[in-house]
Amino acid sequence: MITDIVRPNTVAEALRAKSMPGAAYLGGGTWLNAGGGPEPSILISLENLGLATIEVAEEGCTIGAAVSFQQLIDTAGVPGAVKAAARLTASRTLRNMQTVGGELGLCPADSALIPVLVALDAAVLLAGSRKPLPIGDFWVDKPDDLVLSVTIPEEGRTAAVRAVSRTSHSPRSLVVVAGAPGRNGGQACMVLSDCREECVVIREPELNRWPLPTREKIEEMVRAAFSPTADIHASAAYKRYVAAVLAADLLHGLAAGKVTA
Amino acid sequence: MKVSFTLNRLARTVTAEPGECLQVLLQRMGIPSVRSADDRDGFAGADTILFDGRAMLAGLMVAAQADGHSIETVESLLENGRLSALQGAMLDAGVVQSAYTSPASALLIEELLRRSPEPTEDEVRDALSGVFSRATGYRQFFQAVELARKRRTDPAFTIPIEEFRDDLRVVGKVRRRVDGVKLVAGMKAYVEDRVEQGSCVLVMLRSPHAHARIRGIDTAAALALPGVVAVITHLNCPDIMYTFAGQGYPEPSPYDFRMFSPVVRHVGDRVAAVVAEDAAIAAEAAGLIVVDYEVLPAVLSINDAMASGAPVVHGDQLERITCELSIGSDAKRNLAASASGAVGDVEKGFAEADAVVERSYTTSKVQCTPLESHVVYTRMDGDRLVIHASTQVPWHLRRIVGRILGIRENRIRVIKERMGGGYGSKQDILLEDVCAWATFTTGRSVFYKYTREEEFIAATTRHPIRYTVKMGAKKDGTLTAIQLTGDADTGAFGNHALTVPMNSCSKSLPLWRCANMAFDLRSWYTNVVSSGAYQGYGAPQGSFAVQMAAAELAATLGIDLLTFIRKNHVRQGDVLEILKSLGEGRPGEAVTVGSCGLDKALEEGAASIGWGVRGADSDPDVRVGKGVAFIQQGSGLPGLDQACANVKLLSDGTFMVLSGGSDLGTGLDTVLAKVTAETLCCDMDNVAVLTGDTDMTPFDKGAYASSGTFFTGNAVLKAAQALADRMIDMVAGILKEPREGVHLAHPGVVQGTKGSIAYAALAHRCSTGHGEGELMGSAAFVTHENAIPYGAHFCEVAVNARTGAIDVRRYHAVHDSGTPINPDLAMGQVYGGILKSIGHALYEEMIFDADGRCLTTGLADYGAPMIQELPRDVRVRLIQTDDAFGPFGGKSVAEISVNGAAPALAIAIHDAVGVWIRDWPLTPEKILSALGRF
Repeated sequence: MITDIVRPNTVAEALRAKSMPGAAYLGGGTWLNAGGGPEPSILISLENLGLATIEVAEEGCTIGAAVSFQQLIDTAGVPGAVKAAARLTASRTLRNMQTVGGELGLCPADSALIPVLVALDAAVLLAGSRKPLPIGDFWVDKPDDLVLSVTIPEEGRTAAVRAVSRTSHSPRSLVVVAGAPGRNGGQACMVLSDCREECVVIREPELNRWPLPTREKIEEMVRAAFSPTADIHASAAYKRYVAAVLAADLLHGLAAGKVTA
Repeated sequence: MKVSFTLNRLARTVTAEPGECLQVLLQRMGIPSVRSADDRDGFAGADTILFDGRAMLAGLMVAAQADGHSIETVESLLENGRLSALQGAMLDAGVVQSAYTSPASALLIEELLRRSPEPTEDEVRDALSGVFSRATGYRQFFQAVELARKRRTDPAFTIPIEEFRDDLRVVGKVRRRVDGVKLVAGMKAYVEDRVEQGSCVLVMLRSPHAHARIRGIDTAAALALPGVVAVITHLNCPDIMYTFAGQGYPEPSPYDFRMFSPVVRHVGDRVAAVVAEDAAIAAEAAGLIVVDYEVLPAVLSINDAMASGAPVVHGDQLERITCELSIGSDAKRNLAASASGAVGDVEKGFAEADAVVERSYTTSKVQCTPLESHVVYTRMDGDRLVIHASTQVPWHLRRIVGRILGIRENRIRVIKERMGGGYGSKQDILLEDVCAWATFTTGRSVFYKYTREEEFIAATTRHPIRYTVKMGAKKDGTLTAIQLTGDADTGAFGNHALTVPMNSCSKSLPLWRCANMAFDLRSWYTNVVSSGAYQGYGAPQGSFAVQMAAAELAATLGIDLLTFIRKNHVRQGDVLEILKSLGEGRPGEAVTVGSCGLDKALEEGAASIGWGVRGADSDPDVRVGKGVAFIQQGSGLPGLDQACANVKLLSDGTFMVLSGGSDLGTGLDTVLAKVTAETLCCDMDNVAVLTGDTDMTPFDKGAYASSGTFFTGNAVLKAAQALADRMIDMVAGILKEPREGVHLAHPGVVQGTKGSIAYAALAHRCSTGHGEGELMGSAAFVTHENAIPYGAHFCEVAVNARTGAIDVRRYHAVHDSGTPINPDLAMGQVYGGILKSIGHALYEEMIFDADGRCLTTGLADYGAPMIQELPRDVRVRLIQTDDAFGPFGGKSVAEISVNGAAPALAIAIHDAVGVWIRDWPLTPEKILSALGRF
C-alpha cells in the first residue's frame, strides 16, 4: 500500500529516498499503477530532477530519463528509429505518460525502444556510476540504479524498426530492428526480439559490405540464429519466418534508402 | 495526505490516501465523467483527463501525483452550463452513441484543437488513438473535428449529411439525439451513477476449474470478517432452475442454470458471492473462502462434446433440466439443442448441378466488449425491490428475477439506465439475479460491476460454429441446391443454444433464390464460458459460411462472383419458404419480401469499389484483391414478440411518450420522439420520451433481434395515431362538425373547417373539473410481417505475400434500411458494426489453454480494434426503399452491419493471394501457412 510520495530536488536526495524500505521511483507510473507487480509503499517522484530534457549535439543525442515517449516523437534531432519505436506505443495518451526511464527501469520483454537503442549503440548513464553503461550490458544486467539519461552517439547511421502484433494495441509478438553501418562508425546489425525470452543481436561483417548479401542469404542468417518462443498470437515457426523476412527487407531497404524508420 | 491541485480551473484541496487511484478520487470529488472500463490497464481511455494540458489516464495515476498540478475533465468544457461547440459538433456528427467514452473523446479533441487548430486526418487518428469506441467505428469523429474546427469561426457551420423523405418534417432528418446532452457532457446517466453512499458491494468468487464438483465450501472466515454482510453459495441460494437468456416467454432455451451450483461448469463459473460494506472487504473475504474441489474431466471443444463416452457437462442435474419448448435437446449426450429443416429436394438439386462444392468453415469465440461492463444496482424501496439495470430486456429481467426470488412482479421495479454498450450481451441476466437476491435477503443496497476480466470469463460471447456447406449450381450460375450443416459451441449453458444457430440459417439462406435448401444444426454443451446473444445473433457466422461457399462455387464455375450474386439474390415479392422451418421452437411462417434494395446496393457498391478493376501497389510483394458479401437481418420476431406504448398529451400541449423500449445507445429514444412528432404534427422538442421503466412504461419485449425501430417504433406510432384520433374526435365534437374534416396541423393545432383548437387549449380543457381526463393513446404492436433490411459490403485489401500482412484499404457498405429515421446515427451504427466485424474477422479471438482458462482477459490481448485499425477509406451509403410495414418505412439498421466483413475480407484475400482462409480470425500467419511459406 502506498503511504507516501516524496519529491526530491536532487539526485542525491532521490538515492537517499530509494534506500527507504519499499521505495520505488515514479516516472509516468503507467506500469506501477496498473498493478500486477509488487506495490511500493513510498513513491519517489522524479519530476523535480530536471530529467525531462533532450539534448541534441554533434556527438550525439542525450535523452533524460523523465522524457516521455511523446516528447521523443515531438523533438527534432531524435533519431528516426527512436521516434518509430516510441510510436509503436499506439496510444498517444499512454505515450504522454510513458517515460524512457520507466522503460529502462522495467525492461519489458516486448520493448521496442531498447532493441533500437541496442542497434544504435546507445549508452545509459546511471546515478551510481560516472561511466555510461553500454545499453546491451544494461539490458543483460538490469542494474538496480536510477537511470539518469541515455545517449545515442552520432554515427551517421540509420536504423529501422518493425513490430508484429495482432493489432496496433496488442502485445507484441516480435520486434525486428535493422541498423545500417554508420558514416562515423558503427556496425550494421540486426536485433531480433521474440518479446518473451529471446533477443538476438546479429553483427556479421558481411552486413557491412556492399553489395549486401541477398535477402535470402540474410533470411538464412536470421533463421540460423533466432529461435523464438511461441505466444498466444504467434507460433514459433511464424515468428522465425517473419523475423527473417522483415530483417532482410529492412536491411535492403535501408541500403537502398527506401525504408523509413 | 492533503492533495492540492487545480480541477477544472478551481483550486481544490482534498484528503486522500497517497496511493488512491486518481480516477476514483475524481469520482469521489463529484466528477462522474472520468470512468473505468479496463481495470486500469490503459486500453480504453474512459479515464482520460487533461493533466497539465496533456491527455493522460487517471486510472494509471495515484492521487499524490496530482499535487501541484492542473486537471481538466469534460465538465470543464461546458460553457455556462451549456454544451461547448465541440460537444455540439460531436452530437451533430452522430458520434455519441452508447457514449461511455464520449467525454474522453471530447477531451482528446479539445486537446488536439488547442495544439493543432487545423489538424490533419493523421493527427485526428493520433489524438484519438487512446480511446476505445466500440459503438461508433470512429469514422464520424473526423467530421466532428471538422465541425468543431469550423465552428470556432463560423458557429452556424454545418456538414452535409444525407437526409431522406422530403415529405416528412423530422423522420429521416438529422436531429440531435434526445439523450445526447447528458451523454456528451458526462453527466450522471449510468447505473454506477445511481449508487448511494452506504451501499454494499458484491464480489464474486469464481471457479478456477473448467469442471469440478464442490465437495465442501467453508465461508466461516469470510463471514467473520468485519464488514461482510452476506456470503451466498449453492447452499443458501434459491433452488430454482432457469435460463438466464432474456428471451420472450416461453423461452426457447433450456432451464439448465441455478444461481449457484454444487458443480462448476467453466473457468469463471460462480462459486460464491460476497456482499460487504466496500469492495476491498468483499475481495478480502472472497479470498478467505475455502473451497474443496473435486476436479472432473472437462469438455473443451465441440469434438470433445460429441465424442463417444464424453464427460457430460450437466451430468449431475440431467433430471432437473427442463425446456418450455421443443428444442431438440439431449443433455445426456451434451446436446443443448438441435433443429433441421428443408424446402424442395436438395439431392435432386445437387443432381441437377454442373458443379458442386462442399467446404467447411469455422468461426471463433468473440466477446461483445461493451465499454460499460455488466453492472447492476439493487435496493429496497419499502418492501419493493428496485433494480437499476444496464439491460436490454427490463421486462424479461423482472419476470426471471421474480420467479427466482419467489415474489410477484408487482413487487419489483426495473429501471433501465443509459447503457454504455450492450451489443447483445446485456440480453442475458448475468448478475442481476444474484444481486437482487442479495438485496432481497439482506435488505441492503448492493452494487456489482464486472471487471474487464469477468467480461471475458463470465459474460456471454458469440457462438463459435463449425459449418459444412454444400452448394450446387448450373454452368450458367443458376443455384440448384444449398445444404448447410452446423455444429455450435454453446458453452456451459444453453442460453440461445437453439436460436443463434437457427438465426445463422434464417439470415443466410433466404438471401438466395434457390428451390432446394436444407439445414441441420446442433448446439453442444462444453465446459467453456457460455455463448449467447451478440449483434448479428448467428447471422455473421452463417453469412461467412454461405457467402464463402458461394464464392468458391462461383470460382469453380469460372463466373465472376458479383455476376453470380446478381443472378441468384432474393428480390422484392419473393416468398421465403425456408422460414417455415425456422420458427425457433415453434412452427415458422413463410414471409413475403416486402421491399428489397439489393439490386441498387450491389450496383452502387460495385461502382464505388471499382469492381472488376484490379488494384495495384508499387511494392512487388503486395497483392491487391477485392471482395463482396451481401447480407440481411430481420426486424424483430414477427409472431413472437410484442411492444406497447402510451403517448400522453400534457397540459401545455406537449407530449410524453411512455415506451418499454430499451435504447442501448442506438438512438431508439430519438426514433420514438421523431415518430411521435411526425404523427402529432409538432416539433421534436415538444416530445419527451421515457423508456424502460417497468413501473412507469408499458410492456416491451426489449432490445434484441433488431426489433427497436420496427416493433417499439410501430407501437409508438400506433399509440400516437390513437391519441391523434382522440384529439380529432374531441375537437370534432367541440366544433360540432364531422371528424373527416378535422386534422392535426403543425406546429400544434387541431384544425377543423369551422375553426381550430391549439393542443394546449385542448389539453387544458380536458384536465379541468369538467374535462374528459388526460388524453392518451395506447397501443400494442404485433405482426406477422417483416421489414427485412439488406446490404452489400465491398472491400479492397492489400496482402503482403512475404509477410502475410493484411491492409484493408477500402471498405464500402451500402445499406437498404427502408427509411433511415435517424440518418446520422444510422450511419454511425453501420460504421461501428463494420469496424467491430473487421475486428472479429481479422483480430479478435478468445484464446483458451488446455485446461479451459481464457488467456485473453484484457482488451489488448483479445485484439479489440482501435482507430488505427479503421481502414483509410470507409464509406457507408444508405439507400431508401419503401417498406410497407416499418414505421414511416423504417427498417432495422444496426445489427445487419456486422454480417458482411468476414466473408468480404476472406474473399478479397483469396482474390489477392489465391488462398481461401476458412476460419476466423483471418491472420497473416494463416495466410503464410496456406501459401506454404513455412
